[in-house]
Amino acid sequence: MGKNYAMTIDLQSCIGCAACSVTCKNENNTDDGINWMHFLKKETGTFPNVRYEFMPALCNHCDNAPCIKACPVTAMYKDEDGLTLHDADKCIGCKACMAACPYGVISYNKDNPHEYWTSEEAWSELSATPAHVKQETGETLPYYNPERAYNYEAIRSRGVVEKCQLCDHRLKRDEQPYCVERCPSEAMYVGDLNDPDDKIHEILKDEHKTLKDELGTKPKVYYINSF
Amino acid sequence: MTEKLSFNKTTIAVIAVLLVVVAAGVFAMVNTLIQGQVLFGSSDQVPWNLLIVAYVFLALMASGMCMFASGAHLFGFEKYQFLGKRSIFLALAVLIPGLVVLAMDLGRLDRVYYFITSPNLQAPMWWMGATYGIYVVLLLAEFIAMHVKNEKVMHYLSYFTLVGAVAATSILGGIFATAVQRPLWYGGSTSVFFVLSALLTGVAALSIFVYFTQKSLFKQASENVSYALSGLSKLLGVLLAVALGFNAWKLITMFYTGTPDFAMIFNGEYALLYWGGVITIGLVIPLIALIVSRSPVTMVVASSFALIGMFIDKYVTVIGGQLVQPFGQEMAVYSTTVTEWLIFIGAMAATVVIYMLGIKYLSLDDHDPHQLKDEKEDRTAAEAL
Repeated sequence: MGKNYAMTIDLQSCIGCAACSVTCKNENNTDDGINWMHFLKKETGTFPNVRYEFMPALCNHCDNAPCIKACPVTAMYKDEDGLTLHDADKCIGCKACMAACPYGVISYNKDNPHEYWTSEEAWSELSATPAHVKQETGETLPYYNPERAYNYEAIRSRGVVEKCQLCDHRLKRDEQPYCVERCPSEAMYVGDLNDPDDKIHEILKDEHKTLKDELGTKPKVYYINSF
Repeated sequence: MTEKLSFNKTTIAVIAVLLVVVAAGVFAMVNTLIQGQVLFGSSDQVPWNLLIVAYVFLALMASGMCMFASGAHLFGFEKYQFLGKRSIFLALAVLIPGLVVLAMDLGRLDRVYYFITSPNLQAPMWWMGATYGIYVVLLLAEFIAMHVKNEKVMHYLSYFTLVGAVAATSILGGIFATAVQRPLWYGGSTSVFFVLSALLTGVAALSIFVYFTQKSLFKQASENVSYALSGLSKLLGVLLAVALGFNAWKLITMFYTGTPDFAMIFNGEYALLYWGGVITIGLVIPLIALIVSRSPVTMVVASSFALIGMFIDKYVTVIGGQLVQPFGQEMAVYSTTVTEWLIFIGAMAATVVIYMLGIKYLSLDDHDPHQLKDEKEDRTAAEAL
């Protein structure tokens, strides 16, 4: 039996620092304005009875994924480990997956990726231009992570969508996704639901919920201990 | 009606203006291919833009005209069959620019062959692409059969184009109908409404084309055309009334869900577009006009209102359906861009140019071969008596 990966996010541990979102951008070479790890902020109530909620949100790797059903060319697919993945080489940029996704976590590359680093305009006379920095590093972008190229386009082209792959390149070598590893409060974990000895079963003994499960998408990101 | 047609100066001037508009559209398309979709107003929150609205509108119009032509032929409405060749040609003239508009919204047009090499049979969009692809070929074949007056082939192709038009239209609706989280889209009635909407748009557009063709190119008023317009006005009236019913039930069912989408069209951001554009301009005014009078002029005015209304209906459906964001986040905002409009208007201008060239060179006003045959049969039967 293959693996069946799922993620847990402990909302009482989460401090809302958005490190998951930032480190995700580093690991996956995402462009400005494109996030695989989103964070939802909500302020409710009136002073002094106000409430502030923060919730990391990413692709739910649904078992019944609407994006997979909507994609006309099978660029969205389920892998053998239960992940909902995107094939950037096959995507035609029709955006049917974006229209179908109930969670709004798929992004579209409208522009050439990382255009910023081609700019010849410096912030000040004392600083280098982005193009110069890029030239000195010899990479497409100065903080380029070549590891992402292991099983996905390291930088996606203009005209295709992209979304969280749950760091499948890291899971393949038994490492946790980068957002999980860099979370300072250890609020997240990715485990194998098919492995009875996996820690995830212990975590899921706590009160948990998934997002919009009433739609029948069978999401696999579990939010633990919500307030 | 086989007189040799020649365009007068006004018509040539109109064609020249239309060609400028087409050129502007082509410029916008080339610009999009070079610069990418940064030229569009779509975003991650609102991924589908005016081009999708335009495609849906044009594709439904084309299907509607084909449904009318093939239906009139197969169900034996002889008095309308002289419009057959013109309708099928118009369907092609609308659908082909429409498909170009759709292609412009694809991020990677160069990979479109994956539709064939890597199909997803679960995806309504794949079925839409496949059915419209086959449908265009069938329409072309039917038109060629009509042009060379091959009655037998034309007759059999009519079955396929009629089924193709209904299938393609409802599958296009299916793309929206299967989006479970979007109340403005979800549900089987969306697909059925797309078929109704196609017929309504097709009949309205056909009436306008028929009226202006007659008025600008032929000196004498044709009895056939007046009769057909009168009949089309009755059909349009019925379709408008049914569309009103559809809208009423859409609102009633959405009222019970209490979703933000309902508030948006009922008394929110899109209320003016919905009540003013879709309901008043698109349905109520033309319906009342047609009840009061069914003269050719009233029919053309009513048809124009209905077309505008149907376009706004598609705008409210496609764009409005994407505005409400998950998890109670702020409603998204979408504004059209000049590039989107140029592509859309360029496509519509291309339709009119293609149609005018068709009138000039492809004798669209030929009698339907079946009508000729029927008349011959009638005569033979009368002689036998």
